[in-house]
Amino acid sequence: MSDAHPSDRFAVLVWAALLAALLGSLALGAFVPTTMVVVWVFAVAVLKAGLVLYQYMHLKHEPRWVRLVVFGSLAVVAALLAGTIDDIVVAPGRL
Amino acid sequence: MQAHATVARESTSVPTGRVGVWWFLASEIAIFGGAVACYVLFRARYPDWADQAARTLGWAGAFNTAVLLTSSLSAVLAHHAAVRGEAVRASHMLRWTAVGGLVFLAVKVYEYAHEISAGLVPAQSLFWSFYYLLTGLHALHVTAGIVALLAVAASARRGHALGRVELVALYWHFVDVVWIFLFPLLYLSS
Repeated sequence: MSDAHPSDRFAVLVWAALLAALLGSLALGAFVPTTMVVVWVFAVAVLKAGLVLYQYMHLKHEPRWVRLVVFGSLAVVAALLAGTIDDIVVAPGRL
Repeated sequence: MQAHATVARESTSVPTGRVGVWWFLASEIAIFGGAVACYVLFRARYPDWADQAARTLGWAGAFNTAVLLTSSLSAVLAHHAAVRGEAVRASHMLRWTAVGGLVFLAVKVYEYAHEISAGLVPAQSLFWSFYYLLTGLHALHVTAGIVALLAVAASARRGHALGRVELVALYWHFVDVVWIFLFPLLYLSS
């Protein structure tokens, strides 16, 4: 979190947006066909996480290297996921 | 000048405490990310896990998500109060955040009791092994967060170390972000 702090009112607005996104996820789960719901609900989760990271944790105000630390760690996880997906999902049994 | 007067180092342009927390959170991303990635892989491998996910208590998961989002709001309000030098308000907000954590844990205990009584234990299937691993690991982090929140709230009330309010709030927001992903993966993917 940086020294450029938004107001309390803005924090409340972000909270309201997060709750609205939660309700949106629940509505998607109720009305969207099963095959599509996972993708949409996960997309809403990414949106919510982005709001918390950027507005509450103030990641947008941190130096670039801090953002690299955070997203670099995510990139390592994504690389491991990409490296193993074939053996588990596409052609299981090659472990 | 800010009341909590955290000093940024020239080499990093960020206060050392905040650098430490960000590094810690990056390591936590690897821990949770690895476990979640494994779950996602097996979830894609076994589409019939949707039937298992449908047996989780969706309303409880949704309620707990709202609770954690609200506790994140009180954490950020505590940080704002600390920046303004309002020690008592910062302490109060941190205590409300801890209350949110306690409510979350109470609901989680209720869920576990409900599921265990229905025979949905880790040995029942790989889905439930992942469910207890991911939610249990997260609950441990919530517990640690509550202890940290109360400790910082106690010192903040005396006007000491207000800079730590920001650090404990950062950690709490991370716990919230993890749950934001666990909820749809474990509860809504049915």
